[in-house]
Amino acid sequence: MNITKRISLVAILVAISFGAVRAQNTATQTVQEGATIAQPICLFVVTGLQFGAILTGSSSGTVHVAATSNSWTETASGAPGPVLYTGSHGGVTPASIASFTVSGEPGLDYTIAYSGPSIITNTSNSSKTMSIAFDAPHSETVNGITPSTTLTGTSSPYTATSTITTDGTDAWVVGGTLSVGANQASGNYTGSFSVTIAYD
Amino acid sequence: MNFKSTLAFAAIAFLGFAAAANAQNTSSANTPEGATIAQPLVLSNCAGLFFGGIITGSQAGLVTITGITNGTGTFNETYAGTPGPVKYLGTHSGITAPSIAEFSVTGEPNMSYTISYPANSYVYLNGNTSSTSMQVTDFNPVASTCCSIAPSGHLSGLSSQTSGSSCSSNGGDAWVIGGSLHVGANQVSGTYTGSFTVVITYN
Repeated sequence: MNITKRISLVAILVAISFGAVRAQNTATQTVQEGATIAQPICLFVVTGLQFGAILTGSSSGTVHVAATSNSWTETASGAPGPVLYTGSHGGVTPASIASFTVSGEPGLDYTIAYSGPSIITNTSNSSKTMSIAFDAPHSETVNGITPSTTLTGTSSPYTATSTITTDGTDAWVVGGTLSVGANQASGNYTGSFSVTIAYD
Repeated sequence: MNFKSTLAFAAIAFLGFAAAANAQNTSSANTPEGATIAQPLVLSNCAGLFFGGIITGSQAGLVTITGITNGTGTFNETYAGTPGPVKYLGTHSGITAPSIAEFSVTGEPNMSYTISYPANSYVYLNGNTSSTSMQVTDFNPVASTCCSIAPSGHLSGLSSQTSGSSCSSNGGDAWVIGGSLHVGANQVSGTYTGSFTVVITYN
């Protein structure tokens, strides 16, 4: 092959192979990235656990605020133990079951935890107290918020799990049993208990 | 070699009369030739950049993934914190776990190359580019063993969006790239996905 042809051939080969040469000088990757966002979980206390007005007796006994399928009842152990006051004297905090609503990310599971028994103390005499043992949480509509269908753990009174509904909410109530002493000192008894919910 | 010696050499080499006659009709010379072969530069990406489950708050904030130098694809993840975004602590399935982007390189031993990456990219709700998004910035390569390849020890930052490195004596290199996710106040819930491009070039 003469030199002119040889030069031409080399020139053609260089022109054709320029793209291929560049490809092996560089390399590219498309990298995947992502994240998942969820809303924070929030607990709202709608009503406290209130036993209302009770008449003490010569025997100790109990008063139970208990959840029913869509409401609650209050039952006293009765004479000679405590009975419910049936008069209409004002200024008494009416009885109520503790009720809660939750907001959060639809579909996420969470735990509910509280500890007891808890003590309420006479506001005029701090040496006088009564004890409350809590029931397990119970699914109920609260403030128009429909509960999830997955509330479980009701056999263990103080812990339970549930799921945020597709509306981003949940609701449940907690009842309890108040132990009233024989000839319990009169007065208003108050206290509080802490409930914690957490995504799990 | 000058013309006369070339001629004498040709005369000695070709003893036959036909060959001697050919000497002046032809001429030969040993011409150097050669080439240098180098291995192509190849980039592998064996893990993506995922920020995991995040709980949004009433304030915007960053969630940042940073590689651990000379680790094995390991990383730290930090959160702006309440009232900004915090880590989701639950165990709900279906949430992609956090990971740092991992890369390995093969090429010609001891040859240097640059790494280019963007200033920012976006992840989109449900991967839909018309939907709400979050920005990802501050891509930051860090030397780390990835995809079973060890780093060469020559990675360095050069400028924004560019780092330099070279292949080790056995032709390998490895590094991770982390970044910062910009979570908005009350960011809309859901799975956000996207991608970004990394280019390496011999230099």
